[in-house]
Amino acid sequence: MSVINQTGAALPDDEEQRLLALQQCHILDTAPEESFDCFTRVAAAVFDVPVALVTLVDAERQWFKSRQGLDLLETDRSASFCSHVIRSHEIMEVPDTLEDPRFRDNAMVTGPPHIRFYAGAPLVLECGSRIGTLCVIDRQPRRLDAQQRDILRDMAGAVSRQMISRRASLHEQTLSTLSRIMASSARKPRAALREALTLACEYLDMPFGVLSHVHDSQYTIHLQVSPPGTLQDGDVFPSENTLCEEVWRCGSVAAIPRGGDRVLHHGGWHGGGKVRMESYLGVPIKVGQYHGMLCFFSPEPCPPPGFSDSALRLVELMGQWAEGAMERWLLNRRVKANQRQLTRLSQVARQTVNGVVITGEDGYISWVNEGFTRISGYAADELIGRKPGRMLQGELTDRETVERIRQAIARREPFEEELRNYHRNGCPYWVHISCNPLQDADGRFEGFMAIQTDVTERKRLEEMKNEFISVVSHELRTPLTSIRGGLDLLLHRTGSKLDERDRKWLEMAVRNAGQLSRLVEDLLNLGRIASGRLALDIVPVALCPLLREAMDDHEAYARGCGVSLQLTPCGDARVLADAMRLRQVVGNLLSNACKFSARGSSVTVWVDVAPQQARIHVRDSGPGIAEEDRGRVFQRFVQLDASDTRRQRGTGLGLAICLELVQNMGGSIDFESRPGEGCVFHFDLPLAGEEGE
Amino acid sequence: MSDALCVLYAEDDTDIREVVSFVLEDDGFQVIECRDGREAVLQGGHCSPDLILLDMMMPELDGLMTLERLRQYPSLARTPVVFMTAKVDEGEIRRYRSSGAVEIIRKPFDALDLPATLRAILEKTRRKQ
Repeated sequence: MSVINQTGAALPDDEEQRLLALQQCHILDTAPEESFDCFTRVAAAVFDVPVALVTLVDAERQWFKSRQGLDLLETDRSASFCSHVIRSHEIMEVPDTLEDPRFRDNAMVTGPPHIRFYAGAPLVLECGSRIGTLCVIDRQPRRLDAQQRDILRDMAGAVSRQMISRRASLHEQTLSTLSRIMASSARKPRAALREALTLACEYLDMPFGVLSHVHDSQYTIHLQVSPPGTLQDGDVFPSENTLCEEVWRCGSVAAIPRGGDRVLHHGGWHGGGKVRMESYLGVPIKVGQYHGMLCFFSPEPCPPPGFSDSALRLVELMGQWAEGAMERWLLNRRVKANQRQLTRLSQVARQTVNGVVITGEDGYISWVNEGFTRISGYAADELIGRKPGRMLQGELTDRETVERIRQAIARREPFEEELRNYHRNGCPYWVHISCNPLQDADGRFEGFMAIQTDVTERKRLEEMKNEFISVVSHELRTPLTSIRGGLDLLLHRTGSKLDERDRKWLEMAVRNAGQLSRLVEDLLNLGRIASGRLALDIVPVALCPLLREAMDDHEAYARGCGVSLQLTPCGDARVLADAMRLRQVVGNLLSNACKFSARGSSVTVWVDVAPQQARIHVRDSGPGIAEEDRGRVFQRFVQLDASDTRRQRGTGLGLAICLELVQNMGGSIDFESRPGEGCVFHFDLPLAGEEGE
Repeated sequence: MSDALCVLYAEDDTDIREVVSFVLEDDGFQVIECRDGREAVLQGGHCSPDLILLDMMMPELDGLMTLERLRQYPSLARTPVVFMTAKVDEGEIRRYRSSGAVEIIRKPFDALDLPATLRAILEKTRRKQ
């Protein structure tokens, strides 16, 4: 496709590719070079012409790399003879411009330099692109003979080869710098990076090379090379004074060949006015969490025509190399930090009084600490390579606990248990085991680490306490049985025959015997729950009938308090609970509610069913609970109405028991109240699924 | 008198035994009172009660051992048994329950309610048979 320009010279078919090839030569706007000037001098002499040029045809202009007899640096492409030449491989000769309709009206013909004769041979790169010409010009008409044409063609060939070799030497220089950087002999990463910066600064002819770390709007110089008295490693600047934003936005190499609005916009200064960044090359560095930049800059503008592709490529490659070097360095630092931490941790593990045992993936012991050998009585080499369970468990070890542990291990899950183990000498001891799966760096299961704490003493005290509770309760209940039986009988059989006063004494004794029974019962309950020995039989329970029964149980008590009980219809919700304990909880809440409610009022029970749980409410119309007492309500032996002597006093354990029972059944209990407006106690229990009993 | 319900009752605590016996007899039960398990085993050979009522913790022969021996008399092989206890050990209570006891009454209990409780138990076991 040929496009006709203003003077009629069509663009070459490969114009785009041609311009790219010209760019890559990095020769436009460079200083004169003797290696080209010698050709134009020889051409002018050989052809005996006043003007000889090496021209390069750019997109909009032709630029003269070398010129004899002409003061112009460049001309408009539209006025150019050479743009006609580059359309073919052949020499173009115009013997007399005034005779040629293409050039008759050309400004360079009608005005200075008054061209009458023109002969140009294309400069052809190895890729076939014709980027310019070697041309000779005279101010009078003439004609080249065959030999002269051959000379012109040969000389153009030589100029072309010079172009190619010039470009190659640029690449070579870049490559050699890079290879020197990569082959840096410095072993330490920091020294290698500094050496690389120095080499790159030399190559780029820029005095400043900086590797920086940017974090929280702070730009910290990690490593630099700079003229003495300017920058130092560790200097910190606000990142807004730097060009890091631009570089990151650019994502690859950002190049600012000379100061302009962008640099001035940033103050044009780097480092609190110490250094002017007139020309700049920067590339982002990202290694894991480390964000930074590699940049080179100079207080001088980059000489025309700006940075070469090679320079950009060098900075890009060096950025990649620096990322690699940083990565290795950071990794190295992390490894060292890890090692320090590991050393500390292993000291802790070795020296702690707790037993620490590590098993492999197969469950066999691979490591134990001194604490473990002391607790178990076995030496490390007796334990390593064996399974902990086999060696340490014995007759009294709880089989259910062992089974739970076995399942947790099979599922590779963490667990906490208390277990009775056996010392090498045969004595049992209790340990609390906290065991966690171990994973390697890639998250693969590697085994378990268990920390064992000797809790024998605590267990011994617990057992003593339980035994004490058991014995005391038995010893208390037996006489209580006959006291109550005797009193009840007396009251029942002779009560009506006694006078008012004697009857009162007897009733008092009966009431207090009942109170004592409840106290013993509550204490036992709490003791059992606290020691985890309360066996709960959790099954789906139909809520409404159970509430109904609990209310029937308390009907008489409520009547005694002058209170009526009301159950709001509650549907057929079924909860997961121990029926007996649930009834106990409801009973406690009901008797509390009756006790505190005003005579003539009512206690209301209702149920709200949510998707996962049921909430049971018990509302009274008593004095309510002040907010500041909230924290004490569920504590043991707390009676907020200690002054109330009107009614039978409770044991102060009822709500504490409710709390323990509800929690043991997987629920929660709480209350809402405002003084003077009564309270609503409520507790949640999980709903039973569809698959019933 | 022949349609009075008969209870074989063993309890080592004299006070409780007296109260319980009195309450039951007052309600029309016939009570064969034993001071411990050994005496119950001796008495068991001569009677065929409607119900056996045993304290769990007694010297020499505890409730369970006593029951084991009583069961060897063909006439007592299927008699419903009720235990009474002041013990709290859930494990032990489970053990007693699994021995075939129809009820375990925890001390202290309401003595006046005992006759009704026992009648209800008997009614229930009869219906089952």
